[in-house]
Amino acid sequence: MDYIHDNPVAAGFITQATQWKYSSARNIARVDPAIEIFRMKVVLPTVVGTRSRRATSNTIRIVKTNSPITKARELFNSLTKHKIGNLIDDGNGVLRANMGNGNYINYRQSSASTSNFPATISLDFRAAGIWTKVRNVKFIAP
Amino acid sequence: MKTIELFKEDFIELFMPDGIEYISTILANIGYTYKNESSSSAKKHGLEVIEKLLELDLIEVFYWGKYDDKLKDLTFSNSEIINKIDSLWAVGMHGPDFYRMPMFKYKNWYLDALKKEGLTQTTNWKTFVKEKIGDLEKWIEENRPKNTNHNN
Repeated sequence: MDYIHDNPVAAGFITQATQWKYSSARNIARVDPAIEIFRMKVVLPTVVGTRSRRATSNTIRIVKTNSPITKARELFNSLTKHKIGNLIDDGNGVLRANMGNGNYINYRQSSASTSNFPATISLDFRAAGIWTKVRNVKFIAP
Repeated sequence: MKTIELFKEDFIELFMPDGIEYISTILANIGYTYKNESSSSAKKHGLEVIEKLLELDLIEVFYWGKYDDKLKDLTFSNSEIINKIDSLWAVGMHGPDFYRMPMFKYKNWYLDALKKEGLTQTTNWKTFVKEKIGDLEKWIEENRPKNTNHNN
Protein backbone atom coordinates (compact mmCIF):
# COMPACT_ATOMS: atom_id res chain seq x y z
CA MET A 1 0.00 0.00 0.00
CA ASP A 2 2.77 2.45 0.92
CA TYR A 3 4.47 1.64 -2.37
CA ILE A 4 1.34 2.63 -4.33
CA HIS A 5 0.86 5.76 -2.28
CA ASP A 6 4.46 6.81 -2.76
CA ASN A 7 4.46 6.52 -6.55
CA PRO A 8 3.45 10.14 -7.22
CA VAL A 9 6.08 11.21 -4.72
CA ALA A 10 8.70 9.20 -6.56
CA ALA A 11 7.52 10.72 -9.81
CA GLY A 12 8.21 14.15 -8.41
CA PHE A 13 4.63 15.43 -8.72
CA ILE A 14 4.35 16.05 -5.00
CA THR A 15 6.44 15.87 -1.86
CA GLN A 16 3.99 13.92 0.38
CA ALA A 17 1.62 11.10 -0.56
CA THR A 18 -1.38 12.88 1.01
CA GLN A 19 -0.97 15.79 -1.43
CA TRP A 20 -1.81 13.56 -4.40
CA LYS A 21 -5.38 14.37 -5.38
CA TYR A 22 -6.18 10.86 -6.60
CA SER A 23 -4.54 8.97 -3.76
CA SER A 24 -6.48 7.04 -1.13
CA ALA A 25 -3.74 8.12 1.26
CA ARG A 26 -5.74 11.34 1.63
CA ASN A 27 -8.69 9.36 2.98
CA ILE A 28 -6.58 7.09 5.13
CA ALA A 29 -4.96 10.14 6.66
CA ARG A 30 -8.46 11.32 7.59
CA VAL A 31 -9.89 8.21 9.20
CA ASP A 32 -9.34 9.78 12.59
CA PRO A 33 -10.73 13.33 12.61
CA ALA A 34 -8.76 14.14 15.75
CA ILE A 35 -6.81 16.89 14.05
CA GLU A 36 -9.98 18.62 12.90
CA ILE A 37 -11.53 18.22 16.34
CA PHE A 38 -8.43 19.80 17.80
CA ARG A 39 -8.72 22.64 15.32
CA MET A 40 -12.37 23.21 16.18
CA LYS A 41 -12.04 22.87 19.93
CA VAL A 42 -8.72 24.61 20.43
CA VAL A 43 -7.78 26.65 17.38
CA LEU A 44 -11.18 28.16 16.65
CA PRO A 45 -11.83 29.49 20.18
CA THR A 46 -8.32 30.91 20.13
CA VAL A 47 -8.93 32.64 16.82
CA VAL A 48 -12.39 34.01 17.54
CA GLY A 49 -12.61 33.66 21.30
CA THR A 50 -10.70 36.78 22.22
CA ARG A 51 -12.86 38.97 20.02
CA SER A 52 -16.18 37.18 20.14
CA ARG A 53 -19.18 37.27 22.43
CA ARG A 54 -21.58 34.53 23.30
CA ALA A 55 -24.91 35.21 21.62
CA THR A 56 -28.41 34.00 22.39
CA SER A 57 -27.21 30.50 23.23
CA ASN A 58 -23.96 28.63 23.70
CA THR A 59 -24.22 27.39 20.12
CA ILE A 60 -23.75 30.89 18.66
CA ARG A 61 -20.83 33.28 18.94
CA ILE A 62 -20.67 36.77 17.49
CA VAL A 63 -17.50 38.35 16.14
CA LYS A 64 -17.59 42.09 15.67
CA THR A 65 -14.99 43.12 13.15
CA ASN A 66 -14.36 45.56 10.35
CA SER A 67 -14.93 43.88 6.97
CA PRO A 68 -16.94 40.99 8.48
CA ILE A 69 -17.42 39.21 5.14
CA THR A 70 -13.72 39.29 4.31
CA LYS A 71 -12.71 38.20 7.80
CA ALA A 72 -15.25 35.38 7.82
CA ARG A 73 -14.11 34.13 4.45
CA GLU A 74 -10.46 34.25 5.55
CA LEU A 75 -11.25 32.21 8.64
CA PHE A 76 -13.34 29.78 6.60
CA ASN A 77 -10.47 29.31 4.13
CA SER A 78 -8.05 28.78 6.99
CA LEU A 79 -10.26 26.26 8.82
CA THR A 80 -11.00 24.29 5.67
CA LYS A 81 -7.58 24.09 4.10
CA HIS A 82 -7.53 20.34 4.82
CA LYS A 83 -11.00 19.73 3.36
CA ILE A 84 -11.69 16.72 1.17
CA GLY A 85 -12.30 17.60 -2.48
CA ASN A 86 -13.63 20.92 -3.67
CA LEU A 87 -16.04 23.24 -1.89
CA ILE A 88 -19.68 22.27 -2.38
CA ASP A 89 -22.00 25.06 -3.52
CA ASP A 90 -25.36 24.49 -1.79
CA GLY A 91 -26.88 27.57 -3.44
CA ASN A 92 -28.17 30.81 -1.95
CA GLY A 93 -24.65 31.80 -0.91
CA VAL A 94 -23.78 28.64 1.05
CA LEU A 95 -20.40 27.01 0.58
CA ARG A 96 -19.75 23.69 2.31
CA ALA A 97 -16.43 22.02 3.02
CA ASN A 98 -16.31 18.29 3.64
CA MET A 99 -13.94 17.79 6.55
CA GLY A 100 -14.26 14.01 6.48
CA ASN A 101 -16.26 11.37 8.33
CA GLY A 102 -19.55 13.26 8.05
CA ASN A 103 -18.19 16.52 9.44
CA TYR A 104 -18.71 19.80 7.61
CA ILE A 105 -17.91 23.48 7.81
CA ASN A 106 -20.27 25.91 6.04
CA TYR A 107 -19.77 29.49 5.05
CA ARG A 108 -23.01 31.39 4.63
CA GLN A 109 -23.63 34.86 3.31
CA SER A 110 -26.52 36.93 4.65
CA SER A 111 -28.68 35.60 1.80
CA ALA A 112 -28.62 32.24 3.55
CA SER A 113 -29.01 33.45 7.10
CA THR A 114 -32.31 34.39 8.68
CA SER A 115 -30.58 36.62 11.23
CA ASN A 116 -29.20 39.10 8.69
CA PHE A 117 -25.59 38.77 9.79
CA PRO A 118 -23.26 39.53 6.87
CA ALA A 119 -21.52 36.16 7.22
CA THR A 120 -21.87 32.99 9.26
CA ILE A 121 -19.54 30.04 9.66
CA SER A 122 -21.32 26.86 10.78
CA LEU A 123 -19.30 24.07 12.33
CA ASP A 124 -21.16 20.80 11.88
CA PHE A 125 -18.98 18.38 13.82
CA ARG A 126 -21.88 16.36 15.22
CA ALA A 127 -20.70 13.23 13.44
CA ALA A 128 -17.46 13.39 15.39
CA GLY A 129 -19.53 13.47 18.56
CA ILE A 130 -17.89 16.52 20.07
CA TRP A 131 -20.99 18.72 19.85
CA THR A 132 -24.60 17.61 19.72
CA LYS A 133 -25.62 20.81 17.92
CA VAL A 134 -24.06 22.79 15.08
CA ARG A 135 -21.93 25.70 16.30
CA ASN A 136 -22.34 29.03 14.50
CA VAL A 137 -19.89 31.93 14.41
CA LYS A 138 -21.60 35.06 13.11
CA PHE A 139 -19.67 38.05 11.84
CA ILE A 140 -20.89 41.61 12.05
CA ALA A 141 -19.43 45.11 11.76
CA PRO A 142 -18.93 46.92 15.10
CA MET B 1 -48.93 17.17 18.61
CA LYS B 2 -50.39 19.25 21.41
CA THR B 3 -49.32 22.90 21.59
CA ILE B 4 -48.40 22.43 25.24
CA GLU B 5 -45.68 19.93 24.25
CA LEU B 6 -44.14 22.45 21.88
CA PHE B 7 -43.63 24.95 24.66
CA LYS B 8 -42.04 22.61 27.16
CA GLU B 9 -38.76 23.80 28.63
CA ASP B 10 -36.65 21.23 26.78
CA PHE B 11 -37.67 22.76 23.44
CA ILE B 12 -37.22 26.41 24.40
CA GLU B 13 -34.23 27.00 22.05
CA LEU B 14 -36.57 26.19 19.16
CA PHE B 15 -38.07 29.64 19.69
CA MET B 16 -34.77 31.54 19.48
CA PRO B 17 -34.63 33.79 16.38
CA ASP B 18 -32.12 31.32 14.87
CA GLY B 19 -33.78 28.22 16.28
CA ILE B 20 -35.44 26.94 13.13
CA GLU B 21 -33.21 27.77 10.15
CA TYR B 22 -32.68 24.27 8.78
CA ILE B 23 -34.78 21.16 9.33
CA SER B 24 -31.75 19.75 11.14
CA THR B 25 -31.77 22.82 13.43
CA ILE B 26 -35.41 22.15 14.28
CA LEU B 27 -34.69 18.48 14.94
CA ALA B 28 -31.71 19.34 17.16
CA ASN B 29 -33.86 21.75 19.16
CA ILE B 30 -36.50 19.09 19.82
CA GLY B 31 -33.95 16.61 21.05
CA TYR B 32 -32.81 14.66 17.99
CA THR B 33 -29.12 14.05 17.40
CA TYR B 34 -26.92 13.23 14.43
CA LYS B 35 -27.53 9.55 15.20
CA ASN B 36 -31.32 9.56 15.08
CA GLU B 37 -32.25 12.58 12.93
CA SER B 38 -32.62 10.26 9.92
CA SER B 39 -35.30 8.13 11.59
CA SER B 40 -38.97 7.99 10.60
CA SER B 41 -39.92 9.22 14.08
CA ALA B 42 -37.67 12.28 13.62
CA LYS B 43 -39.44 13.07 10.37
CA LYS B 44 -42.90 12.59 11.90
CA HIS B 45 -42.06 14.67 14.96
CA GLY B 46 -40.27 17.33 12.87
CA LEU B 47 -43.23 17.73 10.52
CA GLU B 48 -45.61 18.02 13.48
CA VAL B 49 -43.50 20.81 14.96
CA ILE B 50 -43.24 22.67 11.63
CA GLU B 51 -47.00 22.33 11.17
CA LYS B 52 -47.69 23.67 14.64
CA LEU B 53 -45.33 26.64 14.15
CA LEU B 54 -47.03 27.43 10.84
CA GLU B 55 -50.46 27.21 12.50
CA LEU B 56 -49.28 29.64 15.16
CA ASP B 57 -48.30 32.06 12.36
CA LEU B 58 -44.77 32.10 13.75
CA ILE B 59 -42.69 30.85 10.80
CA GLU B 60 -42.48 30.93 7.03
CA VAL B 61 -40.34 29.21 4.42
CA PHE B 62 -37.28 31.40 3.88
CA TYR B 63 -35.74 29.43 1.03
CA TRP B 64 -36.80 26.21 -0.69
CA GLY B 65 -33.26 24.85 -0.93
CA LYS B 66 -32.47 23.02 -4.12
CA TYR B 67 -36.15 23.31 -5.09
CA ASP B 68 -36.14 27.11 -4.82
CA ASP B 69 -36.16 27.84 -8.56
CA LYS B 70 -39.35 25.83 -8.97
CA LEU B 71 -41.15 26.86 -5.78
CA LYS B 72 -40.05 30.35 -4.73
CA ASP B 73 -42.71 32.24 -6.70
CA LEU B 74 -45.59 30.00 -5.68
CA THR B 75 -47.97 30.64 -2.80
CA PHE B 76 -48.90 27.76 -0.56
CA SER B 77 -51.34 27.32 2.30
CA ASN B 78 -49.90 25.90 5.51
CA SER B 79 -51.20 22.43 4.72
CA GLU B 80 -49.71 22.61 1.22
CA ILE B 81 -46.34 23.62 2.70
CA ILE B 82 -46.45 20.61 5.01
CA ASN B 83 -47.39 18.29 2.16
CA LYS B 84 -44.60 19.72 0.03
CA ILE B 85 -41.98 19.29 2.76
CA ASP B 86 -43.31 15.82 3.50
CA SER B 87 -42.75 14.85 -0.13
CA LEU B 88 -39.25 16.38 -0.28
CA TRP B 89 -38.07 14.92 3.04
CA ALA B 90 -37.07 11.29 2.66
CA VAL B 91 -36.61 9.15 5.75
CA GLY B 92 -32.88 8.49 5.95
CA MET B 93 -31.83 12.07 5.18
CA HIS B 94 -29.31 13.37 7.64
CA GLY B 95 -26.55 15.92 8.18
CA PRO B 96 -25.61 17.56 4.87
CA ASP B 97 -28.83 16.42 3.16
CA PHE B 98 -30.72 19.04 5.13
CA TYR B 99 -28.48 21.85 3.87
CA ARG B 100 -30.22 21.55 0.50
CA MET B 101 -33.71 21.32 1.96
CA PRO B 102 -36.12 24.18 2.75
CA MET B 103 -35.03 26.77 5.31
CA PHE B 104 -37.33 28.62 7.66
CA LYS B 105 -37.42 31.97 9.39
CA TYR B 106 -39.49 33.47 12.17
CA LYS B 107 -41.99 36.05 10.97
CA ASN B 108 -41.15 39.71 11.40
CA TRP B 109 -43.95 40.35 13.90
CA TYR B 110 -42.38 37.80 16.28
CA LEU B 111 -38.81 39.08 15.82
CA ASP B 112 -39.93 42.72 16.20
CA ALA B 113 -41.93 41.91 19.33
CA LEU B 114 -38.92 40.15 20.87
CA LYS B 115 -36.72 43.15 20.07
CA LYS B 116 -39.29 45.46 21.62
CA GLU B 117 -39.16 43.29 24.73
CA GLY B 118 -35.38 43.88 24.88
CA LEU B 119 -33.81 40.91 23.06
CA THR B 120 -30.46 41.77 21.49
CA GLN B 121 -27.93 39.68 19.55
CA THR B 122 -26.06 38.91 22.75
CA THR B 123 -28.95 38.34 25.16
CA ASN B 124 -29.02 34.87 26.64
CA TRP B 125 -32.24 33.36 25.32
CA LYS B 126 -33.14 31.13 28.25
CA THR B 127 -32.62 33.93 30.77
CA PHE B 128 -34.55 36.33 28.55
CA VAL B 129 -37.56 34.03 28.32
CA LYS B 130 -37.49 33.35 32.04
CA GLU B 131 -37.12 36.96 33.15
CA LYS B 132 -38.84 38.99 30.43
CA ILE B 133 -41.37 36.72 28.78
CA GLY B 134 -42.48 34.19 31.34
CA ASP B 135 -45.16 32.05 29.67
CA LEU B 136 -43.99 32.11 26.05
CA GLU B 137 -47.14 30.53 24.66
CA LYS B 138 -49.29 33.17 26.34
CA TRP B 139 -46.90 35.95 25.27
CA ILE B 140 -47.13 34.80 21.64
CA GLU B 141 -50.93 34.82 21.79
CA GLU B 142 -50.87 38.33 23.23
CA ASN B 143 -48.42 39.68 20.66
CA ARG B 144 -49.59 37.98 17.50
CA PRO B 145 -51.11 40.47 15.02
CA LYS B 146 -54.85 40.24 15.49
CA ASN B 147 -55.74 40.40 11.81
CA THR B 148 -54.12 37.10 10.85
CA ASN B 149 -55.91 33.80 10.63
CA HIS B 150 -53.28 31.44 11.97
CA ASN B 151 -55.36 28.31 11.74
CA ASN B 152 -55.36 27.96 7.96
